[in-house]
Amino acid sequence: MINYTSRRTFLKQGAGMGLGLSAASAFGEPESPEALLLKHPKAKKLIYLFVDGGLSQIDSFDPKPKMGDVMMDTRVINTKLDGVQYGHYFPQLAEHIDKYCLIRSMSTGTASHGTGVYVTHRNYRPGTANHPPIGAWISRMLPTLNENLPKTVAIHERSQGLGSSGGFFWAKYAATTIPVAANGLPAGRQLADVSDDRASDRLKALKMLNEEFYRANQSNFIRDHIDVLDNTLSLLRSPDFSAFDISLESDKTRERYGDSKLGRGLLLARRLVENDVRFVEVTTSGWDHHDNIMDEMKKMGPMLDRALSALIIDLNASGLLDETLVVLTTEFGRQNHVSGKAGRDHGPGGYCQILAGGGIRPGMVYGKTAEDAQGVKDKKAKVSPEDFFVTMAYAMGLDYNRKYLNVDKREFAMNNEGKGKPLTSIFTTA
Amino acid sequence: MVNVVEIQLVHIGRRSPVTHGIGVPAVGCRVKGLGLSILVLLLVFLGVGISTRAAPVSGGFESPLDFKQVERIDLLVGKRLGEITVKPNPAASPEVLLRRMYLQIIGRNPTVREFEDFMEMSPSGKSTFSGLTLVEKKRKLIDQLLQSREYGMHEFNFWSEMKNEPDNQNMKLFYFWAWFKKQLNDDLPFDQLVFKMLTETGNIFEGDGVAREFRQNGNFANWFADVMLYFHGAHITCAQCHDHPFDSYNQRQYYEMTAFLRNEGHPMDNLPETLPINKVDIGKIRKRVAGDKELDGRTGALINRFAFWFSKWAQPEKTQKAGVDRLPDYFQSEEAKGDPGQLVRAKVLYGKQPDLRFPEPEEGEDPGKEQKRKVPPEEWSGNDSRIAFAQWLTARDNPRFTLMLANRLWKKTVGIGLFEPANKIKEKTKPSDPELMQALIGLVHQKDFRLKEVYRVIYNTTLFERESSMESVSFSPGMGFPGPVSRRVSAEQMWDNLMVLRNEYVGEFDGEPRPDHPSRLHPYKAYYEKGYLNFDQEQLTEYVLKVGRESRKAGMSALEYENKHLGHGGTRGAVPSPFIQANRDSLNLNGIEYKFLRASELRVPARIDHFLAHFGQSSRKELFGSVREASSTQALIMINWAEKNLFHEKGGILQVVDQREGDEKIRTLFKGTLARLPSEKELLAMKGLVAKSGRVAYRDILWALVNCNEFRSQM
Repeated sequence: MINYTSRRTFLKQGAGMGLGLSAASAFGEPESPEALLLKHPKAKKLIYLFVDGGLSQIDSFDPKPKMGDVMMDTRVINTKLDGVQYGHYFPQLAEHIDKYCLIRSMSTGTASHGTGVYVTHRNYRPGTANHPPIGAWISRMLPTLNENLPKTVAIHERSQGLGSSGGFFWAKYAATTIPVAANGLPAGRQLADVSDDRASDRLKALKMLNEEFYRANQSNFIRDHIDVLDNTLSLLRSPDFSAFDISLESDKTRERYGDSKLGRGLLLARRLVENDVRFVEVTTSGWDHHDNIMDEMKKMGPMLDRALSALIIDLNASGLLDETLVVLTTEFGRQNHVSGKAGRDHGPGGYCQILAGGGIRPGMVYGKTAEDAQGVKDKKAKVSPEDFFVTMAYAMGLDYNRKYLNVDKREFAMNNEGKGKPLTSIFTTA
Repeated sequence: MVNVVEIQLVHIGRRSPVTHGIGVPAVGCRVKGLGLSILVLLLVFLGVGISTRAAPVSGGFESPLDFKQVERIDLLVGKRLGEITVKPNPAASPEVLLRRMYLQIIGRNPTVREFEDFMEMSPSGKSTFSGLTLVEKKRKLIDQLLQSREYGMHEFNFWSEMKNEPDNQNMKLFYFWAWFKKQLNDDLPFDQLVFKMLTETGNIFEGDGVAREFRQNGNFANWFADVMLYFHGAHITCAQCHDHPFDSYNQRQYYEMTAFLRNEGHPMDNLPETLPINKVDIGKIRKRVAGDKELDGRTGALINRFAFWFSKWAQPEKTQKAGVDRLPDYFQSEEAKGDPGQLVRAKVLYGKQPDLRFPEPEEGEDPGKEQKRKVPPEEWSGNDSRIAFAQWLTARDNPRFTLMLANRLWKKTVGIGLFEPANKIKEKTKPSDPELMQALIGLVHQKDFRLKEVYRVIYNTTLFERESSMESVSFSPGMGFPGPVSRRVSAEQMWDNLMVLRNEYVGEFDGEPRPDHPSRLHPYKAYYEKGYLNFDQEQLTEYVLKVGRESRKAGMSALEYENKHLGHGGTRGAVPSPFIQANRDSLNLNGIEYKFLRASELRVPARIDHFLAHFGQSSRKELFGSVREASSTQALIMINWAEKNLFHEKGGILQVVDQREGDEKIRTLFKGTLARLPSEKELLAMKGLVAKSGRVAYRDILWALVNCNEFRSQM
């Protein structure tokens, strides 16, 4: 277990060293509470599960048994809802479909991973601005619920800065990253051989160096590093630090989530949300199954099934699901034909995503993919990544029309100039 | 030469209905001399040297500095500043300039000794720069750094972002990257470098054959998109599925482009008959193994290793590209003709069509004909379309290739490109200073794509000597450059700065680079070096049976046995990542261990839990994936990890401090970390720490210095 409390004195002395910031403001509080769109939004927190690579809708939440050979080894199973079938790798999510809402009519305009991941996270296409991802918007627009912990956390990000970036709000609003859930915060241990007194001297010396430098060089990235150092020192001081330690969970619980990176990630996400962290993104990588998709789904499908269903069940049982929005996103789906090496290529036309909790109507299936699995059946029910993004904002009560200026003084809003519309019909409180 | 006004308009255009296959005739894109270029490149491809200049020798450039080019750039930069009435920044101090040169050219801070040598502050009183003016010192240092081996290390960190590491490839690219670094240090012209990567087909363990590893990819479409984006600034991948929604090319054009590179026969079809191993019947060995009760099933993996190896890696690729692709089943272009499944022939998006000798008739097969993925040989081009593509892409007259390169070099040096984003050219793309852009393109051409020569000119400009502008300056169409732009150092620079504090000779590591990671190519290289290409049926059978039996006795799989006992396995598992290693309580690190080498000599990309990954090294999952944003993990690492693992060593900066007296100890720490002396105020404060804590205070000061923001900034 990682123990920070013994070093609290040391860290207290260092807090707020960033040029007059108080420790309480170090996690990037909004200057004033932003206008909320919904008066009483149910979702206060968001667990954002990102399936990186493009989850095959055919093998997961929208199988097409009539297409025969295209299904390869994937069999269909019934879910708890009449007429709704899943790929056989997902029995638990099929069983608990009454606890979440499935969107079957996702459709996106890109088949490139880079663009797809970017749009899914940030609601804009890559360009000359550093658009904030959903976590950064939440961090910027909502006050903290627990001053002792970071407001936003990103677990298992495959490369830094996808979901954890602060975007043009800068690092003050960036998520704390955890590369390995089982290890908690990296480099979190204090040095044993440095006395409190010396630690205090070090921080004083550092503060002086940073102040002198900032006086002569006032730039955003330097300001950013000062903010981050403050955040980090506050974090180390936090009495709630054990939230990061999944070894405190029982063997039985860990078993339910599965002995997988994803299982551990979602378990950690649950602990963080229980400790009032606003936003936790968990990435599961390796879903770009151009080759041997059947072998991959046999391994990875049940892993996802187990971990996500355990999370939803736990949050539901504790009542936290009411105030926690849980989503599963992916950058696109996969093609309706089998590619050369028994895989499926990128299919942006029609795919599936999931929302649960936070005022979302449970047991609902929204939209349909086309019979050939290659698009959306009813174009009116088509849901773009932009729509989905704004729907999350809507659930959290964020004013997605509100414009913010980036470094070039250009205006950006969460809804990307109206490109996204919330799916109000999937809310119980619409 | 293409003039700048044209460059702005040279985008991938739909073909003019008037001309045959020239994309931008509306604005008169010049393709004069392309034929000559192709000839020249063909000669290069055939190994005929075209350069009149010998490869640079270490220690200096053979030619004097090109003052004319230096002045031209300064003139244009000044002209723009005059137009927008912005004053140039004042000259940077010698210390700032020194650190900038080191960081920019070889990717790390100067060591204490290097600082003292340049500043003529050495305790011995000696300096290799004595008697020179500051400008002369600068010139001399730039030349020295450009010719040092560390130049290649640093450039590698930058250019290797061009190649994504496909998943599941298990670090196969190690030998490719070793070759790539050598080319950077040898200053192989950039166009030739790219040409080789696109066309080499040789044995990967000999000569330039390993360049073909560049084409290894998990997915052709992604790889092709990367090539077109990185070297050409064209984001074409959308057109794979439909006409490009935001740019002006259609779905058919996409497949005409992929036709250059996609189709290829199976390598097995083309194996040379002369090697004994190619006549071996692998099936017979499989049967033999299967029927042998003394062997376990895992011996089969050994046969696969051979089958895979001899069919692919250690023999020249004899295939050539047919220049034909097939429109996909979901072909849906609204602009171009075509039917799903129809064959299309390779055509470039603009410029002169390469010479591909297709059989008559001109058009593809009857669309109603049965669709098979394999392209019938009667449709093949008579010559290799892969070479034709590489010639087109890297041609001097291909305006986009040089434009992308010149802008990238400018951005790398100055901090902001002449167009942004620097990774893409769109219809709207317009350089902020067209004249300067033109001058840079001219410079690249004049220097025959030799990067060292181009850098040498840019680093010697007055612009490079000025104080930096703040990083918050952002691109605007009419902007000027009063100075270079300050920025946070890259992940690799941050790591390397710590490495030289740990051991100042870390950059001088030489010899065969040793990987700190398993590479799937190690066994193949071992086979090759041991001459297994000459195995005949009997010898290979005997070898497989022997290893199979011995491995079973040893209680391990045949592959493990080979790796461990026959030395075919590289260093798999022997060295955990520096991060994990360094988090152990007891470290026993003597001298230079390769895990504490420069970033370029470590596994690329680093593991996700490695220092480099935390500091924003590109994960090589997508182009331009590196980031320079702050994070709390970085802060934690610097607070808790860096000191413990980096400042314990003999040979590090603390040892130099030990050898100094009085206040000079504190000054030494400042020299080695920030490449400057402490201010009065700083010196006083640090002296206070020493008075209070004694010798241990030097560690505390060092901790504060590496944690401070100046340490992570390039000014």
